[in-house]
Amino acid sequence: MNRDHHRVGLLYSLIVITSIVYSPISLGDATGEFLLFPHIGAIFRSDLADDSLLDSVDYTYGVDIFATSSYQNFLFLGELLLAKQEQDIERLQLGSIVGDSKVWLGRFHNPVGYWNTQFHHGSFLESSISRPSIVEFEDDNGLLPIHLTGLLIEGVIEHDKQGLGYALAVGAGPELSDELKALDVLDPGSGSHDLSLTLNLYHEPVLYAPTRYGLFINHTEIPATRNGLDEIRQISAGVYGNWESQRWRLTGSTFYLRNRLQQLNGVLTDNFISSYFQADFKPDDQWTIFGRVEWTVDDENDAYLELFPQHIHDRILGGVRLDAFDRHAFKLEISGNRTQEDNFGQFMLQWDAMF
Amino acid sequence: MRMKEGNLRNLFLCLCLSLICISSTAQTTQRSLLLVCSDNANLESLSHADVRKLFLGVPLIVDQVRLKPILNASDPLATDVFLQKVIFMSRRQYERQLLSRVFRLGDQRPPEYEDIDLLAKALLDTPDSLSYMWSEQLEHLTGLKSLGILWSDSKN
Repeated sequence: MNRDHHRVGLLYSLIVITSIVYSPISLGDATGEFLLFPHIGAIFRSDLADDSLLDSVDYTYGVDIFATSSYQNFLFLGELLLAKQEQDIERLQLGSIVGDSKVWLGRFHNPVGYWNTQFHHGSFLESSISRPSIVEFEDDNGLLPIHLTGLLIEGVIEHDKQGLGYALAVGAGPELSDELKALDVLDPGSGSHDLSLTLNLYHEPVLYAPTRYGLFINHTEIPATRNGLDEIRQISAGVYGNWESQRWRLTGSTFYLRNRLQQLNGVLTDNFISSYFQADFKPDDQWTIFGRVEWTVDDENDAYLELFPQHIHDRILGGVRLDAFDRHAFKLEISGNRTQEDNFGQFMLQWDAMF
Repeated sequence: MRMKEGNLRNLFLCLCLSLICISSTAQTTQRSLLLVCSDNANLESLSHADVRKLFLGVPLIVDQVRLKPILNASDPLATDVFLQKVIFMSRRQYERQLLSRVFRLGDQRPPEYEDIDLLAKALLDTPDSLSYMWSEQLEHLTGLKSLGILWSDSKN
């Protein structure tokens, strides 16, 4: 699909999303949300290796367009990202409420771990500017199937004022060419995509409150057209937790990844463990101070990780966020990062908003 | 002396009357936060757990009707009491939780009314909708009914 067709497709999608939200049916019995999440950011990097593919100075900007609409038991959810680096439909879901569950069809966030379903392209919701590298997007040196296209069933079972949540996803996962590429809903016939399955179970000590603890497992078959690879069979499994009080938020997760790389001349299996832990502290309504550590174990000479030379293996970061002027956020983040071939420092500034 | 006795008797009567007045005033200032909806709604009651669920943006269907929550912002104290005693969250946590649910699950945030008359109109126009208000606010509105007490200031 060429670039012009892609842009036309995006324009059609934007018109469809806007039409659904502002259609007469939406203004009648249906209700909906239409939100814009713009952002402008600057990235400064130091101590880059001479042959680094990263720029020492980079700028980002864009807007995440988000819409929901519901009519009786039927739901629509769309998210479109128009940014400097990419313009894509991130989510396009049609759903139905069945008892306490929601059943969705379309392209959605893979419920692998915690971060990927809590936050997405609208970084206004995140305290930090960056995401943990293990849940980075496919087109940003990500290692996991972040977006799936297929069926998603999710809900919470109530028990004694506590909740047992579940999410089951079955869909088409990504393919691997120069990077992982999720299925393009504007051109579903393009590329080669195989099965991906995810199960996520969690416990809410207080029903529908933000504190939760959970575990997950995903199996994905990734067709590959790179480095003589034919297919990668990936299993990721792990645990996560999010604890919140009035002033504190603690979030952490550990992922075990096992990759079976099928090459023309044989099969190679490797595995490693990646973890992150983030702490947010809010001294008042306006300020948030945050810090995060990320580390990877058994990553040396890992065959799968070697396919992603810019992926960050270890990171330590700190930053502040100022919320002001009614839904505007100004963020600053400083980090030390280690990739396969590089150790560098990074300073980021970002403005996020929600309208 | 007789005058003094008369004065004492009058003083005693005044004191009694004052106590009665204070007592009755105290009774009238006792506040109850009520769950309210239109008289035309088929709903008769709703548990606190379901109220919390509804106002957190979780779709709630009763008798095949999807209920719609409306936030009453006409009285900041009513909102604070509602959030603390029914939702069990601070205003900041509540707003963040709502937004998170909208973004994750496609739920919708409840509409908010600062004018109590507009809130009443919205409740009357949409019989499936519910809100909360002080008992004295409900006394001045017609066409609405209480579905129960969400919180009461029982110390007075």
